[in-house]
Amino acid sequence: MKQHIIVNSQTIDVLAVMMLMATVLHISTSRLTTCVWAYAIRSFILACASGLIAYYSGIYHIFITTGITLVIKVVIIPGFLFYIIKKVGIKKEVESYLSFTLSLLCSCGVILIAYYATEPIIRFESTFMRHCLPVSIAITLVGFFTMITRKKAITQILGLLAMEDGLFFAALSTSYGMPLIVELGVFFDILVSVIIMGIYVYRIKETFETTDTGFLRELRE
Amino acid sequence: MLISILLVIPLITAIACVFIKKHNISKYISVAGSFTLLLYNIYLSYNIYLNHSLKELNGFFYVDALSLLTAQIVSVVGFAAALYSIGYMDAELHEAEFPEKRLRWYYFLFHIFIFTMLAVCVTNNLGIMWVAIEATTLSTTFLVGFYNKKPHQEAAWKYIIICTVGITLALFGVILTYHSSKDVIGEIGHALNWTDLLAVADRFEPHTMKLAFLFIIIGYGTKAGLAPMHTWLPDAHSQAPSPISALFSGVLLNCSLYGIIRFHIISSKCLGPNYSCTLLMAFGLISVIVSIPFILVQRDYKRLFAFSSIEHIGFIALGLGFGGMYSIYGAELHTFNHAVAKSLLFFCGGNLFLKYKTREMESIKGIIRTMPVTGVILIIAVFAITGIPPFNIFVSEFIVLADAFSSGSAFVLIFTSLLIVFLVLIFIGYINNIFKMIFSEPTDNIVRGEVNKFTIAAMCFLLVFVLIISFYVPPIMREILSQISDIIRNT
Amino acid sequence: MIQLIILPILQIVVIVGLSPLVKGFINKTEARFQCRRGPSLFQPYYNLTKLLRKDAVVSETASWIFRATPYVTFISILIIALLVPVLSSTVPANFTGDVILVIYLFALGRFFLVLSSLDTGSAFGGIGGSREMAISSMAEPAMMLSVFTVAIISGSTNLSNITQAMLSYKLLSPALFLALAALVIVIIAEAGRIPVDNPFTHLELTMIHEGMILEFSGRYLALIEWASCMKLLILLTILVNTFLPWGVASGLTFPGLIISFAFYVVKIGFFALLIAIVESSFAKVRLFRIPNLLGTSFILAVLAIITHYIVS
Repeated sequence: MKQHIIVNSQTIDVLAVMMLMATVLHISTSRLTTCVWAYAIRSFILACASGLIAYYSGIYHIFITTGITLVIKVVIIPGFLFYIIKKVGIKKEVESYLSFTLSLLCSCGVILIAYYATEPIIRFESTFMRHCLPVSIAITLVGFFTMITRKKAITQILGLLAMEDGLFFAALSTSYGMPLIVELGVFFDILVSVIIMGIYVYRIKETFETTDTGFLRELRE
Repeated sequence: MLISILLVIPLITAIACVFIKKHNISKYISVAGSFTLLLYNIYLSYNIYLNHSLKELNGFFYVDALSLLTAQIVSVVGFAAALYSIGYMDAELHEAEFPEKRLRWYYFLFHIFIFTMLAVCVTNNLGIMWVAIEATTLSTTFLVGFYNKKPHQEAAWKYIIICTVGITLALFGVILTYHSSKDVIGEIGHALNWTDLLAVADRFEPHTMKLAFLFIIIGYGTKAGLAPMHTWLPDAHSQAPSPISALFSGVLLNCSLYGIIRFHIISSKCLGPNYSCTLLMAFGLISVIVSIPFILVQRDYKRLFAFSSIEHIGFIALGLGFGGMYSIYGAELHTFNHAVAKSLLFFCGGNLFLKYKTREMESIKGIIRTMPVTGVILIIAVFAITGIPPFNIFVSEFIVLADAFSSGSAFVLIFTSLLIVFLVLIFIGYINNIFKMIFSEPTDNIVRGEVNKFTIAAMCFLLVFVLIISFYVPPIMREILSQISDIIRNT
Repeated sequence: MIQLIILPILQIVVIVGLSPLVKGFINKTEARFQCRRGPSLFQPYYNLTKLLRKDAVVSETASWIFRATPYVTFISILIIALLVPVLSSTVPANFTGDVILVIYLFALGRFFLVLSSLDTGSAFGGIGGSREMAISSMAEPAMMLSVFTVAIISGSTNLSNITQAMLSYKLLSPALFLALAALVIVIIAEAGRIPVDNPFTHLELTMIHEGMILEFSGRYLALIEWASCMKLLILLTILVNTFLPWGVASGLTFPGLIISFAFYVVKIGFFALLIAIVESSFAKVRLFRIPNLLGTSFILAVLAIITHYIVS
């Protein structure tokens, strides 16, 4: 039952790098709405890459995941986040514990770590698609980094989504996606978790009158 | 069909609870549903006892002794919590802590929570297991933030953010496992089935598998409350309603640990047991150590119990990490013992909260006078949870430690000796904190008498389990535990 | 013969002659985006001729630097025009310098411009000059890094060799893509366009380039304006002819040059359109946010080099 599929496409490499650039846009912008746009753009590029991989590899269930990515990650989730931002009336500026330049440099370092860490693994891969694994790990780590350093609840959601995007791309590029039923479950979980978090952003704003998670400090020893 | 019915029962109960508007009816449906589940689970365990393992739906569901024990804990504690919920939530409703219509959603989410945990236990597909563990987080976020005030919202936010990040890391572990198996298994539908993976695990790519297990233990470890990823746990446990805290401590942590154990078995076969055992021991010991100072200086009794959960989960991880036949036997017995004893403690805590309206230990005095039954049960539960002979946790801790000492490895010996010192410290912390509450003079303005009979019934139900295991482990349980020991050691 | 005489003339004619047209094109397109009819495409030419005919007024306190600056700026840009491959991958002044010289010649022009802005003692000049230096100190490293990425990939710092090498490099590699993105941001900053600087405004609080040249008038102003038009065109030329060298003639035949010219016009037109779109859809960012933008560009350039080294 073994089946070896090799996708050789420089286009997918370029798409991977474009996803990385969307992530850099996510860190470097100071506007909340631009952050959401960056997420939507990255998800769109992800969907393109996934469609290409499906086309080249001939695994047709990836087309289904591509479609779901387009619907959920490109339309529903960004739309929901825009709705939350508007409804809650969050201030448009992104706030961070670090200065912008510092967080840019840190995330540059994080991306470099991702590249160096995966270097021994990708050395043996085929010539093309070698960018995919380091890029996906870089996106995951940068997402984690923004979750730690950003103050607003909604930016933490965006960081989490970035992590999820990175992992999704990792699964896609290293092993052509997971079995379809698992992918469906993962999509469902992402959607529900974003909605629940959105509801909590709303509630926290109602009771704390801010969405700055730095104010969540009542529970401690 | 056998396994599917197990999942259908809580689902039907949940839907029934949400559609019946009157909570006077829905609360009994909830208890009836969880009682049916308990009975059905006993029937199922008899089947497993005869057949060793059971597969269903083309290998999509798989139940063996290991999943059975976890499912059994879910149904036992689930039933107790459903029973306790009636008394607790009625009393809270009486105090008008929340609007009545929210209670419907409480029972709905309660049973969905049980459903997701059962799904974790019975699924064979590691990807679906991930989905189910994430679903446990999602279904309980609203339960943590049930009262919807400042601290509850804070706890709920921390809970969902930290757990989701952790579980996202675990997804990477799952992806890496899938990646390392792809070259061996190939592109077939059930590529992530645990049984299929285990069959060929020795041919996996070892470096990827190492990385995968690391991500798994960090990811699921976050959900299991292993230090240093435990920070959500005391907040969520202390802010959730008491029956939910009991489910969290007793069952949810075990479910996540169950996820780790499944990967531990694969990784042991691929890399040899040393790698994953060392990681389990390290995280286990860190958890025990981290919990001690917090237990010693704690002022809030629900947080005290929460930190004690971290300690016990750490102990279980250590027992699994020692890797001997009896230490695994003891560790698995310990999961059951801890589940019943800690749920019992949380029920006591719930009664205290209903009576005194505070979680500060300093302002609670003379429990034995005001609530004699709760007071006595609290004493037994505290003795049990701190591992005082002859209670059940002493039994399982003794088995683990004795096996560790007899293994003869210097490394393990040091670990174990340290562990005993820590257990003594924790005992001191508990006695110091709790006994002041029980035996001092009660303040005058407190009305004497128990809160209501449902809560006492639920506590007595769990007390029976605590006392039985203390003196006698039934043969069917012994058989299941030794089967688990074989599964984990893969012999 | 051709390389010595015709090619330099051709390049200078193209760069010097077409650069005001590029500016006119951007202005016209933006006007169209804003639903205005806008000035004629050739308006920059009319402005320049008008200014050239006028006499210059020079402040009494200004020294020789002020008078020399327009010539230095204009000539340094003119020299760069000879170092950059425009229509053919062969470059007139090939023997003299490479891309590093190009960057330094840009710096020379800027240096004199900043000195002259301080020279008259006007407050706006000082503000403009200090801002210009601050921005260029961040833009230059990013520019160098992104150009070096190309240099490393093609194995030479000589622009002519780079174009030659890139002609045989069929597809856009990820590293080049990152470097391209970095360079686009830098070019916008260097050319003083929105979102870094607004070339149409004379608001004292926001102007950078306009602040520096506020004291110039008449033919001096004409030279500086012309030089800045040429700078934009040269930057775009470097961009299109190193990263996307499709259609650039490798020899010096007449039909080759004609085709090359057609390609060149299309590519420059495309990027000019891009600038117009960016300018009409973004607001100018606050001065304190500019380091952000340039930092992003710098990081993209660093990533470009690193990905090239690690992955390729």
